[in-house]
Amino acid sequence: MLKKTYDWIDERLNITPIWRDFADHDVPAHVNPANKMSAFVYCFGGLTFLIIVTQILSGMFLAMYYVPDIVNAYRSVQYITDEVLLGNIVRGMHFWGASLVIIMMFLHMLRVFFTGAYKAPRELNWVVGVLIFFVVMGFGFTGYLLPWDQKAYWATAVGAQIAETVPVLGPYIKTLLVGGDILGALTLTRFFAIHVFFLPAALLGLLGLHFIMIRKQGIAGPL
Amino acid sequence: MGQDFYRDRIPGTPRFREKDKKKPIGSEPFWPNFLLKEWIVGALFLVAFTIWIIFNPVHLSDVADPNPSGYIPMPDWYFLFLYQLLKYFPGKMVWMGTVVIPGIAVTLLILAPWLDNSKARHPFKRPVATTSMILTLLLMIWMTYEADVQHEEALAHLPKQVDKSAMPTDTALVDEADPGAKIYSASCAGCHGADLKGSVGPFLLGIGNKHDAAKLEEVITKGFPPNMPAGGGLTKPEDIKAVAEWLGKQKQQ
Amino acid sequence: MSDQRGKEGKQGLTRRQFLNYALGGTGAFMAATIAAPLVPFAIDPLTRSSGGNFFDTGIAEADVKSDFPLMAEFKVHRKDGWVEENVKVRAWLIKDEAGQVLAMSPICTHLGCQVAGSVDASGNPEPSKDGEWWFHCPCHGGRFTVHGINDPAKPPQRPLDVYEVKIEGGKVMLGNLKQRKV
Repeated sequence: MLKKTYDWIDERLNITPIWRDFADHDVPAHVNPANKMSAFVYCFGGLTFLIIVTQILSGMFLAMYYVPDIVNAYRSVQYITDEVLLGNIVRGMHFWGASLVIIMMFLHMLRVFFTGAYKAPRELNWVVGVLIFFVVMGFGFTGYLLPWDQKAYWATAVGAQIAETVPVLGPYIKTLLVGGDILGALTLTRFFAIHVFFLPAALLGLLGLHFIMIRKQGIAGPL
Repeated sequence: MGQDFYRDRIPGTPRFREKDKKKPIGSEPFWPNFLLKEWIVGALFLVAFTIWIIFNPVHLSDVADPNPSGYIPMPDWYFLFLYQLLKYFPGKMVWMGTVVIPGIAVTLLILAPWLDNSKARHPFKRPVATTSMILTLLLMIWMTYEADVQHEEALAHLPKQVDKSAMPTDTALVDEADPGAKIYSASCAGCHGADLKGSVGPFLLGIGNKHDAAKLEEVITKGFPPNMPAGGGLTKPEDIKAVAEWLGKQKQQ
Repeated sequence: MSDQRGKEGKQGLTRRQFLNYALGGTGAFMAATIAAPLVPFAIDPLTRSSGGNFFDTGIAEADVKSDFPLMAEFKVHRKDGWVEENVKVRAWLIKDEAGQVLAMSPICTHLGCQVAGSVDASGNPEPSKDGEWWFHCPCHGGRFTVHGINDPAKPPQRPLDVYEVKIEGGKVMLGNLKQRKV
């Protein structure tokens, strides 16, 4: 039955070559920990992606209960933590996952750097990787404010003050970031929109590029 | 250039043709051989992560209070090195720490493939790139550590934060024109907060429910040495009495 | 194919080039049409001028003394998007050497505790028992002169912040909070 359905679709859309190319490409020996244990450093990229997937999922589910409003944000997070079934676990996933993404991504970047894998012809993929790094930092900065607790509020206040010290453009950057003069209702909705819509769109686009380029160029050869 | 050997394969051609070709030793198809190994690592990783989450529940701090209350801000740990960097450029030079140095670092990072453009890939064969990255790493780790130490130090000097979780949210101030209110705002509000909301000292909203004026007068007269001096900075008994009477009226509606 | 294109290129715009330009132009037009409402929408905060709001303290300029500060308590109508509230704000008013009104925020520049002025029990200013230091912070012993200048030996490293001052009809009006230099 399953086979028949697949054949029916394949007949019309010819999907076999698409996944065949992805599935059948050979993974060279030097990145395979089964051959040499030290090849585990090649896992960091994949693990970063795994954690990003869990971040996207836990974030989507947190949004079922979270309200980006200064009156209710804190209470909704409190509700998630204290009342929702396993709410503390899901929030924990998202909270600790944020740190884990940074750690794994940093390790991945160090691996690429120290093995010289960014060298020609893979320069562009390095640039895309650095951009992904900044997008993830942006996730961290905007997500930190969302619980609307003291820690969140004052860390963001300092962040906004720092943005203001940029010569000439500083005050404009700060106003755009904060959404006005006061760190308040407009800041929270702004950060929420950036965290939940703008940055994910950027991240998914960049990740797509990153993976397409890896597939096109293959993994850098052994040292 | 093992994998390049196979680049000439037309995507989608069946695998059996590839099997006829010579394979580099040790390489294996991505699906399912290699992916299975990756997923075993991923599964172990997720289990460890889940255990970590269960044993490290996340706590909320108090709800955001835009009024300055002596809260010492601290960004998340991965921003600490940037935060620390700013401390080395105080006053007018702060743009060095916000724009110039991070800007240079980011540019170098993005341009790394063009700056380090030799054919050599082994880290020992490109000492400049390797050394500068290791030095930057050590500097970042040290600055993160330093920021944390300085934050702990600042926390140690901060008076204990008042727990406001029990503060009634539905209680308003009573009788703001009372003479006691005037004395309160001059002498007591510095610690107990404007509108009785507390700052260094505990909040007093709804205190009238707990104690009556006579009891409050006694409490103020005694104080809580060493944090609150006897009389709470008030010297005249009639002032203490006025404040106590006003506080006694602060009942939760 | 390519030398054919080259030949046509010498004659000027080929049909294909023309279509490509038209395609690019139409694409740019669509992008601009979509962006036209979105960009102003996002930068709305820049269009709202700040600092234009001054609030009446209810205190006459003539009442502000030059020897000791006077506490002014007033309500500020704060509009934060759709959240509007009245916030109680305090300021210490004094005339500086030039006779200008100086409105100091009572927030300690160290960690944001509220500094107390040297006042008697009924709130009237009196000479400080601590020499020139008139404001004292209960948190870390920071102290300031009547003009809010900090004691550099104590934790606060900056004078008390001041409000922008405007005199209107003899009344003191206060605007935004500004930091003073050390």
